[in-house]
Amino acid sequence: MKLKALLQQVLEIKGVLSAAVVDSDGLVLEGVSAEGTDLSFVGGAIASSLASSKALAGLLGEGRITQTMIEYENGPVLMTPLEAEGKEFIAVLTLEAANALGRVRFQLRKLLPDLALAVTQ
Amino acid sequence: MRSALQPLLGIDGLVALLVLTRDGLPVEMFGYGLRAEQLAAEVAGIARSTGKAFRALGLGDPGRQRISLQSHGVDIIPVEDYYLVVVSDNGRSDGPAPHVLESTLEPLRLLLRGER
Repeated sequence: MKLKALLQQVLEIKGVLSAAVVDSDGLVLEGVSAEGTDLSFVGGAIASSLASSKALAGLLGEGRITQTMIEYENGPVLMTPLEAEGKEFIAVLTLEAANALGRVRFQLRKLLPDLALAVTQ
Repeated sequence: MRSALQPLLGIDGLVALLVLTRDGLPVEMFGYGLRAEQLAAEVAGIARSTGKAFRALGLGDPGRQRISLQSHGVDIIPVEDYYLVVVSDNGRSDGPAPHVLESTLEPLRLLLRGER
C-alpha cells in the first residue's frame, strides 16, 4: 500500500489530527491532515530533535529511541522511529488531546510495519 | 534544591534527576554514572528543536516531553526558565506519576523564582 494511503489510515484513528513521515535529513516524505495543516516545515526541527535524542540515548548507553511524546498546550505530538532498509524515518502524529494517547499508540503499532515498508517504495 | 526535589528522589527506578538552564547549563544533578554537562546540553538541544517544530503549527508551548528508549525513559519538564529532567529505568517505572510531579513542581517553581 502507498504511504499516503497508510497515513490516511493513521488519520482515521480517533484523536489523530495529522500524520507525516519525515526522513533523518528532515525531508517530509508525505503528510496528511484533518484540517489541511501544512506539515512541510516541521521536518528540519524534527530531524534536529532526533539527532539530539540519539546523542542522549548514547549517553545512557542505548542505541535506540522507541518513542517520543511531547505535550503541547493544544494537544500532544507523538514521534515514532521507523527503520527501513537500514535508513531511519520518523512517523509524526499530532493528536487532539492527551487522553487519546493510549488508543493511538495501540492502533499505530499495528500500522508501523506497513509504514516502514511503504517509505522505501 | 534537594528538599524541593524530594518527592521525585523517592520514585522507583530513578536513574538521574537534573535541573538545567534553558541554554543547557546544569544547575543541580542527582544520580550516578552520567555526565551532567553532556546530559544538559543534549536535553537543551532536544527541547529547543521540539519547541520550534510545533509552535508554528499552532500547538502552543511545549510542556512535558517523554523520550522512551529501550531501557530508559527521559522526561523533560519546563519549569520557569529551567528544565527538570527525570531519567528512569523503563523496567521499573513509567516515569514520575502526575501527582508526584505536581507535588515537586510548585516548590521547585518557588525556589527557581527565588521566592523560597
